[in-house]
Order: sequence, then structure tokens, then C-alpha cells
Amino acid sequence: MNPLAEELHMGKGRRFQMLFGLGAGLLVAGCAVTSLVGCSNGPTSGSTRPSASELKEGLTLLDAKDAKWGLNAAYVKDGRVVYIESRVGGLKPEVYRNDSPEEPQNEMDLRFVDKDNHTFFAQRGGDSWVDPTWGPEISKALTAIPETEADWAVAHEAAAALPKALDASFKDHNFHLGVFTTMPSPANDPVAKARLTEGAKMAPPEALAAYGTYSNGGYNELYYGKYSKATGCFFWVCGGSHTAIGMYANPNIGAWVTEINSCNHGTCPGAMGYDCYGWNGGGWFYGVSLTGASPTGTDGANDGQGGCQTAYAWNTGGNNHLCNDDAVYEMWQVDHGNTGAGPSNSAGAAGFTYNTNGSCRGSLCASGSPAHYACSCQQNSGCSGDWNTPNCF
Amino acid sequence: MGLMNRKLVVAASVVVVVAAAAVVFASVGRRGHERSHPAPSGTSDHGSGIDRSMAAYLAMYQAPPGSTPCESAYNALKASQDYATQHQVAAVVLRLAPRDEFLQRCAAQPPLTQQCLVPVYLTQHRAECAPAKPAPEVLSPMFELKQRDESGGGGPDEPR
Repeated sequence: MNPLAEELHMGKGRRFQMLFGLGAGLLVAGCAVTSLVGCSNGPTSGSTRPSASELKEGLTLLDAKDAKWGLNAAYVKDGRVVYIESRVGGLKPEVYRNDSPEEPQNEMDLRFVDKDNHTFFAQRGGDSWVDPTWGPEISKALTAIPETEADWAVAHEAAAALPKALDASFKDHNFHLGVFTTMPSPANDPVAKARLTEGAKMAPPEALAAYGTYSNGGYNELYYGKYSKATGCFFWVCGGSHTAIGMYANPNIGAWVTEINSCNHGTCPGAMGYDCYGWNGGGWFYGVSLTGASPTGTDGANDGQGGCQTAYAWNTGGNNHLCNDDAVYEMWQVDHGNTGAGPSNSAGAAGFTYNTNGSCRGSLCASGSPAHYACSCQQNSGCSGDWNTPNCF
Repeated sequence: MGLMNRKLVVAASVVVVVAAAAVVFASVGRRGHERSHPAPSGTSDHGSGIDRSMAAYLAMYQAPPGSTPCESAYNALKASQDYATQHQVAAVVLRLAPRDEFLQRCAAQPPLTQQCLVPVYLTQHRAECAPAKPAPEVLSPMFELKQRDESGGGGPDEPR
């Protein structure tokens, strides 16, 4: 029997098996193609960013079609590539929109990523990253030793070049890029430099012995800088204070290799005055796992969030708390190397609370001696005085 | 046998078409999802909480405009005062002159000062309005705002 005849003599079941197999095969093949096409739409994660060798020198817009969503770009200088990514979040509170009409009306995230997909600068507009894939990627920022200073130089050049290549609809992105160009790298920031020098003298002997041999869970040094301004301004006076925090991490290599700024819904650290810094006796921690993860609970404390209850999460979520409560929580995390509840939290499950003195940049702060801060204000005297910007601790 | 062949060809065609349609549908759906770039949502719950805390202040911005800048300024101050009273929240406007007196005193001010007394205008024109700020003795009979709370901590703002 020739093959054709043999095929024609197949049983019905066999024929349907074959048809089913053909259909399934087409589906699988098609989906594979679809996936590839999908992946090539634009880099959204580390694995899809084109390498420096695939890019031309200078600026490449990878995805800059929708200013209301964000942008992805890459910049190559002498073979070194830095990726620039920006995302648009929800509307800022009306108070902040009124205060700073010249700033973007939406909370926005911005980050710069090196050739190995390590985020060395990230700025968060609100409580969590607009693109949730950023968190896990940022958590890997300290798993290698990036050449931070060279990357910052390229990042500054990229931030200056990018606005010239974008149309007017990207003005909000350009605002933050413009601010970034004015921000010194950690190595050139006098406060950050001084902390590095001072912190090196405070390092425990074990950390000194392990210098330069970073491993996740080893020695890390953390510190924060606090920035604030008056907010809720009407006529010629202002109601309260807005606080934002810049957080730095040195994985025991003698350099601040990660900087994460938290804008706490309003003006970002680079766009307002520096107040003070804080760390806990030099900022050295052993076994601190830098996850960058987002607690999903609303109280941001020991609430059974499992893996998210690791250090340096830098995210709050929330009910009735203000930017200054966020700031205190971020300061506390850097000071303590974990996301646990503050010392004022007697109930354990009540969420983060902390009382500390604050100072008022406006007229409606109430007493700041002390001011009551919390992630859920019903747990701490209704957060009386939390329009005060907290003093550093 | 010929009939069987035709059935087989038809069935195979149907399968191929369905499979192709499924792939196209999946592709379009996937791309649509990836490329939809959803518009930003409104203010977060947290952001709304910040606004609620400053509701007496925001009431000024939601007041109805008047027929003149002075009327708009009065409406804004009155709206804030009323909001604080009705909702028993911290008052921003501690005292407000009667409407006619307010309008009379306001009208005596330079045009730019009148305009800058309207909160919505002042927000958008801070630099322009900075030199238009009237002396305290001019504003005082018109209204009194809550001033800086000096009982705030305000100690040395340095780390321990």
C-alpha cells in the first residue's frame, strides 16, 4: 500500500488525533512566535534590554510613544550603556498639585540601569513602583559591584540629551530628567562622601575584614538624607510640611552604589532643600537583605507579609497617613535595617508607629514635641502633629 | 472514500483556520495588553488622605468664583471658614470681616494685589504675586489666618 493509500485507510480516531496534533502544533508554534513578537515590543525587563553592542553610540529611544505611560531609552557613551526608564503613576494629591503647578501633576517613577541590569538610581513618586517588575529588579542591584561613578556620568549625559529627542508631550518626564542632571552622584555629594569616610571608621572589624567581598546577606551600610519644604501654601503662608527621603546603600565596597529617592507623593528630594541625614551609629548591618520589595499590607509593619518583611523595602501603603509618616517609616527602616514596627508600637500587630520631634514649615502642623507618626494613624493618636517634618534620628 | 477525503480536507481546513484565528487573537490580545499603556489612575487612597487632612485649605480652591477678584477672594475665605465649622476640623481662616467691609477694603488695594488674593490665581502666579503682598496692617482687618505654630519641635535638625 502506498503512503497515500495508507493515510486514506487510517481509522477515524487516528485522523482526529492527527488533526488535533496539527491544531495544537500550530497553536504552540503560533504562541511561540507571538511571544517573541511580544518580547520585541520594547524592553520592560532586564532580559529584554538590548546590549551596548546592539545599539549605536548616543541616544536610542526604545519605547517613547505614549507619554502618559512612560518611556524606555538607552544611551551609549564609549561603549558603556545606561538605560533610562520612566513611568507615570496616579495623580498627586490636590494639595501638592496646587503647591507646585510647575511640577508634573502625576506621581512618577524614574530609574537608571547599568549594562548588567542593575538599578543604580531609582526615584519613586508614590507608595510603590508603578511598574511592579521594578521591585524585584532593584532588589538585585547589590548582587554585583557596578562601576557606579562611570554609570552616573553617562546617566547625566543621557538625562541631558533625552529631552531634546522627545516631543512636548514628554514634558513631565523631562522635568524629572532635568532635576536629575542637577543631582550629584553619591561620590560627588559632599554629605554622602562624608558619610562614607565617617562610616568606614565605624565599621565593625568583621566588616573591615570582609571589605570588598560583598555577598547578599553580608555587611551593608545604609544612610538616608531628608529633604523638606512648606506645603499647603495659600495667600502668603503655608499650612504644613512635605518631606522626601533619599536612601543610600554601600555593600561594603567603599561606595554608595544604590540611591533610591522617595518623593512621598509630592516634590522629590532633588527638587527641594536638604535638611539632615541619619543612620544608626554608622549604618552598618549584617545579614540585611536588600529586597526593595513592597509590603502589600496597609500598615507596613510586622503584619505577616512574609518575604516582604525584609529590610529596606522603602514602600509604605496606606490609609490615613501623610507624606511625613512615610518619611519617618523610611528613615526608621534605614536606621534599623528592617521593616519591623517602631519602638512605640506596643501592640505588635498595630503597624508602624513612631514618635519623634518635628519642625513646622507652615502654619497648621500642631505640636511637634513630639509629633506622632504612623502608617495607620488610628494606631497613634491620630498622628497628631504629623504635618511637622520629622527631625533626623 | 472520496467523500471521506473531502471530509478530511474540510476538517483539516477548519482546524487550521481555528488555530490560526486563535494565534492571531492571542497575538492581538497580548499586544493590546502590552501596548495599551493604561492611563494613570486617580489619586491613591493615601493621596486622598493627604487631601482630607488639608480639606479646609482645599475648600478655598473649590469656592465659586465671584464677579470680581475681591468677590472671589471673599468666597474662597468664606468657603474655608464654613468648611472648618461644619466639619469641625482645624480652621485655616480664624477671622473674616463681614462681606461688604471685606470687599470695600479689598477694592482699595492695587489691581494686582486684588488678583493675588484669589487663591487659584496666586497658586499659578507666585513669582508675580510675591511683591504684591500687602502689609499685615492692611490684611489684618480683612481676615486672619492661622499662623505658624511655634510650639513645634524645631530643635536641632541633625542626626544623633
